[in-house]
Amino acid sequence: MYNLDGQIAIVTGAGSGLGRAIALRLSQEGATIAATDLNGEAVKKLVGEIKDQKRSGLSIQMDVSIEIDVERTVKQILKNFGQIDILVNNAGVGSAGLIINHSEEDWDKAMRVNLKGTFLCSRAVAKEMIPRKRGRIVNISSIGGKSGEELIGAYCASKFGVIGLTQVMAKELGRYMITVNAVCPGYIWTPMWESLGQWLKENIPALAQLSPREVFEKRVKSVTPLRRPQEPEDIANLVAFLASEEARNITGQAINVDGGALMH
Amino acid sequence: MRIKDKVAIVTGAGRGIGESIAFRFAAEGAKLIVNDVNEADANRKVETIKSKGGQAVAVIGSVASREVAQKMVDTAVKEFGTVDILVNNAGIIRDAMLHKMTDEQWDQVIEVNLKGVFLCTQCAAQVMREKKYGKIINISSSSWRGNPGQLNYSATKAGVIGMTKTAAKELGPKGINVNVIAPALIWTDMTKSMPKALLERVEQSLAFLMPLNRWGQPEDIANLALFLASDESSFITGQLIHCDGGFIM
Repeated sequence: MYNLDGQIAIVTGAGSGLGRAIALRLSQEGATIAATDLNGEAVKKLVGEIKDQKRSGLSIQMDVSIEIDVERTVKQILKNFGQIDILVNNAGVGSAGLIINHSEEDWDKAMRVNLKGTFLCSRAVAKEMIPRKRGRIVNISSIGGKSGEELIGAYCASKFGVIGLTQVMAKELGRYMITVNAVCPGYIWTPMWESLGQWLKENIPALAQLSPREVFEKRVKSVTPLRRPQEPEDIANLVAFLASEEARNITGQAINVDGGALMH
Repeated sequence: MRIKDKVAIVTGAGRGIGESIAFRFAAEGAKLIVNDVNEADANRKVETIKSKGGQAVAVIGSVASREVAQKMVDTAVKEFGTVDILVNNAGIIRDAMLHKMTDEQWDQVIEVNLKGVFLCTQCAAQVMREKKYGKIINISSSSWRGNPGQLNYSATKAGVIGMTKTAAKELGPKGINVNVIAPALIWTDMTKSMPKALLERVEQSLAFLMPLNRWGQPEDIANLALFLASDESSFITGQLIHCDGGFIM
């Protein structure tokens, strides 16, 4: 659909969930995928699938929040492929619990991975994109990055930060024809939601008989005009569009993919 | 072909952004209702689409007329069987500073840019809700954030955003997606008609206004309209997307 032949795309947190779907979609569009994750085995498996489809990829175990890890990885990718065209900052962690119950580590972890990780990867990759005067950076934020929600305080703060960083980078890198945008997924069933569902069911009598999953789905349906939960492919579709030449005039934006749950 | 055999109505498709959207949709396999107030322009677009092997029919008239809005939908159903996509692109400017703006300038812009969107949306949604599928794409503008000389235009472009969200909430359960695109500086007859002194000032400060430092092309808007018209965006609704080189963040 978009022809990303010959382009090199880095996707962080590609071992599972959204990252995996994004990596597979960009691969289908012709891009060579450098897939990173804290879980080296998971991205090894992913790249195996990519190669089975007769396409190119490289798997690297990497922690986005560690500066030397990121620098080492970018060097390795350049050594293998010579260039970087696309960066998808997808690696992220959740946080669950009232702010009054968040520990310092709950806070630091969300900031380190979600926000600092996005900064470290973007910094390293942007430096390589600048001389080539081309590039696409897509940051995975969240609707929680536009509208705060109870029980996910550190997560929301970090995702708000990702949007701010997106805007700054879009303004700084626009002159090099590099676009920087954020994608904001809506409600997705993740371990973070498992804890939330549990808390809601324990604290709201009407929900006591439901499983955390059922609580989640009930909530999603009631706030989503399109009345269904999303698929990872919904996110991958927008990432593919933003990574392509079609979206050359879009930068600094934070776009919600959420069935209409949030409309700002 | 990303929207093969889909039936699309594009208002104000006689030139500029509307023309670009109509051409791109046709190239991607859609059957077009080409609407414009200018008969010659609309007919020329239809001929061009047909000459490239596409299908298109012109419906002439102003979107501010319920009769015309209904005629677009009726023609689409008669010629092509249904309506899948509506792009509310038709829009006018009648610029004047606040203290000088006339009633006529105010009324004309409200009629076309706001009421026209209401009428076309209502008529098309009738068909879309029956089949529980539809894509409505509205065209707003960076002017919604405030633009001296465009009290009327900015009101309508902000208004279209509100309409988009309301329509998205009402029609979402019926499987219809409604989104809005906000262009800024796109090189078309509308921007070319800006006062020369203003145009020069814009040229000089382009890099300051937009990180991407380039006039947008109608194709940039058409690219995004296509994405929103296709099933690639099936989980996106009620959203405002700026396609403007980073003019607004």
